[in-house]
Amino acid sequence: MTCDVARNRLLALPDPTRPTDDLLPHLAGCAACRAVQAEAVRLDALLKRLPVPSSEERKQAFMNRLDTEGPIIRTRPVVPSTLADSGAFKPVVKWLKRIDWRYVGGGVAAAVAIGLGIWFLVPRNGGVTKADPPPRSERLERMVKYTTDLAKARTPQERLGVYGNWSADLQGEAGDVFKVAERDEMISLARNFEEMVNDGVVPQARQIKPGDMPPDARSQALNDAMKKLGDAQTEASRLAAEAPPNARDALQRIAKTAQDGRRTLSDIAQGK
Amino acid sequence: MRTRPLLVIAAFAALSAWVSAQPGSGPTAAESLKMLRANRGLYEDLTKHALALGRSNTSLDRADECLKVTERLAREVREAVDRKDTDRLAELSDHLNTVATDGLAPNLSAARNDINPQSLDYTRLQDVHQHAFDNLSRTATAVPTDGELGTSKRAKDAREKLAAAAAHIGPPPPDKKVP
Repeated sequence: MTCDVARNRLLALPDPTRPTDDLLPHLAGCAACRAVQAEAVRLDALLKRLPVPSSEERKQAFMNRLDTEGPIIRTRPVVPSTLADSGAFKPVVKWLKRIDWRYVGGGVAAAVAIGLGIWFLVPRNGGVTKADPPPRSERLERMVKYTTDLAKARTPQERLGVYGNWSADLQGEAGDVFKVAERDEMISLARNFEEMVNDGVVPQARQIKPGDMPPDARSQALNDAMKKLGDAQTEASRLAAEAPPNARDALQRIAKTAQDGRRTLSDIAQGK
Repeated sequence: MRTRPLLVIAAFAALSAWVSAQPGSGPTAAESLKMLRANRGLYEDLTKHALALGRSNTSLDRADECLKVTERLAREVREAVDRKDTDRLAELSDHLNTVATDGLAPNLSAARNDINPQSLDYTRLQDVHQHAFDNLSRTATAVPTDGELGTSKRAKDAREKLAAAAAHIGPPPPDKKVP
């Protein structure tokens, strides 16, 4: 112990005549610190001899003033008891203490590894992630694909499938934007949908003659197209019910077109 | 005794797999509207060309319709160049290349096999072929090779794609029609 430390501790003692045990070895070997201790004892004795003025009268006057003015704190403060204090969490704490946190760490690591694996392996948004800088339109990409499919198609059955997909995409586009698009934009999509169904799907379905292909294959082709139109009708009707006024007409038009197209295809399938 | 840690790990793994399997958030309505506004004219024109393709009964008619589609896409490419919009240039160049390679070229080739050089259709075939080649070549050269746009990697890729499409179509063979 250095002299500085010993002297600081001496000055902090309530009674310098009674140094603590850890100071005693230092004081025994250091005359300078013993002198400081002696000085502290002397100063303490001098302070005790100083006269202290009586405060009784002032104290009484102060208390009287407080009583006259009433209490400053009128309600007794209540320290809120917490849930933790109430013991409600005791079973949880007990259960947490029983958990082997090494296994929890292993579980988290496994979850992160599996999550990362799926993240990297599973294609998102058809392989084009939303974060890719160019906002490429997947719908336009599909329409270009449909165009080349049509350029290669040789049978009405093939063309019917492409037109059915194209119609579904147009309905999907309307569903994506109906809450924010202008009325003329929605009408444009509804018109495109009408063209695709009335000038594409229906004429191609009519060209699939019963004798041109096996009955099952013909039924399958027509049923697929009917299902797409049925789905489009259901979805457009549902959206129309919640659509803002500027989009409602267009969605109802799409639903009606799909309904009529589906009915016509049903008639064609039945040979009417 | 050992089942609890295994259950904890399995629960975490299942939770993780479930979260990962959730569909990625697609474009918002505002983003979809932005794309619709950028592509509305194309949607309308492609719809009309698609319907015309369905009515085309010969390879030459289909090649002619594909030529119209490539001309429409080429117009979009040139507009993207004018706006120095490399993203749009890349997107439309891809589409133009796809239609030229997968739609136009096979039908031109089929028409050349089907059509007798002595027939009237042969002149039309030569005409369609020449237009297709010229359109693609002009569009490829419309993408600059210098400046901020021309030196970007996307523009370079677009130019190469368009040039490859033009080369794929190639110029029509010399006219074999007997005068």
